[in-house]
Amino acid sequence: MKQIVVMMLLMGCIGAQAHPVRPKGTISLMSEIMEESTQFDTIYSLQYYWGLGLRYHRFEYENGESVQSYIPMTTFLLKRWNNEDSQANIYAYVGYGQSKYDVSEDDSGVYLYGVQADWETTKHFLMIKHEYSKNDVETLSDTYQVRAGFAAYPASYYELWSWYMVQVSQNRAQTSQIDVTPLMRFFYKNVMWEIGAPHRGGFLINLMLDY
Amino acid sequence: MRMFLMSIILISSLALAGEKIEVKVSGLVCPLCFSKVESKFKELSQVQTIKVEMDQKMLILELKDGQKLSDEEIYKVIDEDSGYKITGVHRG
Repeated sequence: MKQIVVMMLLMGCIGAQAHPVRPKGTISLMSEIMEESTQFDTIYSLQYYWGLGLRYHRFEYENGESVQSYIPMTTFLLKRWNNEDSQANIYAYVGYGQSKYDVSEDDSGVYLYGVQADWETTKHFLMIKHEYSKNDVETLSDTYQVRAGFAAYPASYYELWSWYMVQVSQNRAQTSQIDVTPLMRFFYKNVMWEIGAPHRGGFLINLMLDY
Repeated sequence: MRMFLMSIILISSLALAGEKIEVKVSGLVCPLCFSKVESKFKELSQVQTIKVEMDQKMLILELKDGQKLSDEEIYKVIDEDSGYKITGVHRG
């Protein structure tokens, strides 16, 4: 497992999707790779309700120019409901770092905040999320996202577990269009990965490792 | 004679088998959560094997021969800082 993690770090592919805070002592490595953007998050959970992390984000404009951001951030579990057959959570995260355009020598400060609420059982999943980030030049992200999904089949802990999901999102800072992304989520023990195809083209790959 | 020997073997194996403890936990809904809790129980020296029953939100601990694990020790593994809650401990 460590070899996979090291390999991923070397490839630079670690970023975000799922729970922003995990049980105490967990290191979460999360990635989100889409056609025009790449995001890697590494979060260490100091407590089950508080984590510290680092985000790398790269966005490529239609003209081929790009902006990269490095944002140290902190994540919070604001509220959790543990029920017999379900769990619901409200999360928030904030960060401040540096962003840099490939056509400019100057760095720019960038801040980030987000809120996320989810509800899940072993059969159903629902999530809503809002994320905003802005540097000295422009708003990079003003994203609203909704996700819903269901387990394709009942699986045991020792089997590959597949889920069907749909993600609807819009980054109002970059486009007026809404992205609809059917995707599949897979679990195997402490690894989760997702593969999706946005309706406007491109792809979505998410990966999350807990260890 | 054969029946007698088989009975002895059966009784011996039952006597040597470690205690089984069922731990039910609320809030565990995905393999990532179970994996974390499983790894915490694996750190206990008394535990021989752990079986995860995801649909029942339960972990079944089998202890090493002659080993004991108190409820207090189990509740320490999944305490308030874990973010989850034990809803039942059953010994079989």
